[in-house]
Amino acid sequence: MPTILVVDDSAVDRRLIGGLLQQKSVCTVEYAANGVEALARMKNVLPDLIVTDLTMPVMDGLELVRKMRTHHPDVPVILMTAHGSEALAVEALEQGAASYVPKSQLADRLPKTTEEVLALARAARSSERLLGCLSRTEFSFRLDSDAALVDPLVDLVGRIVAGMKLCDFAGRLQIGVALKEALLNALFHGNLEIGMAPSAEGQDMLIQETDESLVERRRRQPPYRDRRTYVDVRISPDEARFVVRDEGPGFDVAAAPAPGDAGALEPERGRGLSLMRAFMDELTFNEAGNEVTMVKRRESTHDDHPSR
Amino acid sequence: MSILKTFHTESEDETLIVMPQGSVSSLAGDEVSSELDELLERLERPGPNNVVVDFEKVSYFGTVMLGAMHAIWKHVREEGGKMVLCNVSDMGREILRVSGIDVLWPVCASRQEAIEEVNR
Amino acid sequence: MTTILVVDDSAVDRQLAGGFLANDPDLTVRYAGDGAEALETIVRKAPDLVLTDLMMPKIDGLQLVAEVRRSHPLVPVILMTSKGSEEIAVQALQQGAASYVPKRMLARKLLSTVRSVLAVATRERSHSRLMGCMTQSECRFALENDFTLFGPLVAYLQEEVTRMGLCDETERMRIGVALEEGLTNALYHGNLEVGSELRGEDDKAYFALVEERRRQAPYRHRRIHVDASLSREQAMLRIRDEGSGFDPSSIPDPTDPENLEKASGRGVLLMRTFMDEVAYNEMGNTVTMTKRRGTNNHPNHDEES
Repeated sequence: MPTILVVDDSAVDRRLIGGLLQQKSVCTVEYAANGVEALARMKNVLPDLIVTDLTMPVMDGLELVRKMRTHHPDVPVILMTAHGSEALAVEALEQGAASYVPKSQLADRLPKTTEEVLALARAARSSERLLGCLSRTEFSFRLDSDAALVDPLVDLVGRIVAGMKLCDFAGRLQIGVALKEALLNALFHGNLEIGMAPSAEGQDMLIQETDESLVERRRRQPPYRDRRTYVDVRISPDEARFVVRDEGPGFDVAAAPAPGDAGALEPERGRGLSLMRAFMDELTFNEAGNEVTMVKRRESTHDDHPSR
Repeated sequence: MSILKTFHTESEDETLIVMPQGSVSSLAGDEVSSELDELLERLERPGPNNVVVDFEKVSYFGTVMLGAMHAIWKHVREEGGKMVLCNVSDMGREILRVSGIDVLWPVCASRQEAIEEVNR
Repeated sequence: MTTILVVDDSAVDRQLAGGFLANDPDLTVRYAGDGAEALETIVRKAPDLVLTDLMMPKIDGLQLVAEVRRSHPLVPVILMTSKGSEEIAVQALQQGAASYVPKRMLARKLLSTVRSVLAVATRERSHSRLMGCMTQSECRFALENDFTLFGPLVAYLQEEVTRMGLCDETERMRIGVALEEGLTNALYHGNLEVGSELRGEDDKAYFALVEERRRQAPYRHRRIHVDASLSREQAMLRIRDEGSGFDPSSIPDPTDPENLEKASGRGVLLMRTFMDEVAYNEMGNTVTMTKRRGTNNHPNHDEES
């Protein structure tokens, strides 16, 4: 049975709204006279939904919406607007309110809006729980030599790693950096055989491709044009494993500066490799040097739950 | 009008109109059970014995929904009433036909037609 | 070059908005005098973003938002609101407009709002392109005996199958039905071992037994294992329960009039109808459903049972 918290500075309106809600659906209704009271109540128990007036003393509906977004983002808020305060309603929606109902149309619209918002919240909670049941996920991609594909791929991996709770925010960042380096290496140094391995600055240069840049020219020319980068991503609660393979001639892994060497952090292939080595638990190349396997394991210091 | 989570109901003339709101299988079994109970209770009270099931909100469904409809139908039959479906999507009709259950309940194109049909 | 389409029936307001946008050298501005003109322009050559007034004759801002969402879901729409149009603005935001700027704040907020919405849209578009490069995907779930997870799981898998280009809207629904049946079977018949004979006889007892078993050992600890393996050619969905299995050949034919009242068998029938292939392992606790690209499964075949 859902609990709905009704927030309104008018006692008459509170009774009216509560009565309307209970008449039309099965729920428990609680009351608060303004935003501050509402928040105080929520220290102990969270309602499933908040229905609030907009203009109230002490803390108004808009401020309540803002505070809810920060402290209790999972509890949806429906705003009731009096005639003349629609502009505030728009602002409230932007700030994260789930919906709004004009006070003049409560009987008509509140029960239905309440049902809809509760259903959406239920669905969102179930989705989160579902992701918690994901025990493994694997993706394979076949990429053109286009830098614009790198960020979305790194983002996607970041989201899955986050959902699987493999590592903390810093760990995810490291995975992102290492993966990005590996991808840019494959795309540009590997497939397009462009000498300067892009660092972050180099990448910006490459992304602002001008018509006659080397990148553009190579992307149009065979054999570079037809080469693809193959990416394999395998994520489980214990580890994230990436295999990035390009179709270029490869490189001499042994000749690259070893970590700690003088040239290791220079903005050439050396720096990229150093980052990848530093951030991943395992880093191996095939003999030709055009396929790299990177593994990041769940950190033992991180919240250790037995894998599901 | 009653807003249950899965089955909204309305009364029109002598007919009880049941409107499934969406997927039934994604609710907990005991919630469907208690909603069904309420529905069936309403059928047992003196009053409309005829039921129209309006599928406007549901584009497809499976055996859990069929099972719920079956339960409703049994009560309707016991009380000597009739049950008719309406606003069934193409996919819904296919499901009814494939599962062989289309012989039990007539399907009408609109709610109005269904109400007329059930009260004939 | 990023193109912005400014839609407003007032020439003065159009010029005003356009003027602020022109301060950014990367933006090209085009204009339309009402919703209908805007739609024509969008169809001919889609802009990167639409900036629109709300109150216009013929097709107003609200309709424009709905239409653009339908035909060009990757083109964001920003609303320009004025006093009196707030109610419509709220509706438009709920209908999918990306953001809004009050007309009296154009000077201060227009460029920054446009830039941030464009950044989000670019990310979305790149994501779409990336998904087009996906060649294979596999995911594995281990679900508790909880019906409330079925809805999100089916939606997730439908999304995956659609992303791989394996099905259209109708086939997507069919896969949904088949999946729900597979999951329901795995839960009730598989893990909880509640036979369907009770269903249809005494529903109250049926649901009571289900609830009881969900709380009891060993049923409580059992899981439903779902494995979805997708390539651009086919989707293979495997559902395994931890019950003692059954004999798939023993399912009664639900289309036999004798069995009309019985609930059993109907679920498997729906699965077989809507997927290209349905196979059980010997023990009967694993079902593998396959859907291939391009096959439009019409259940009109009498030879299929």
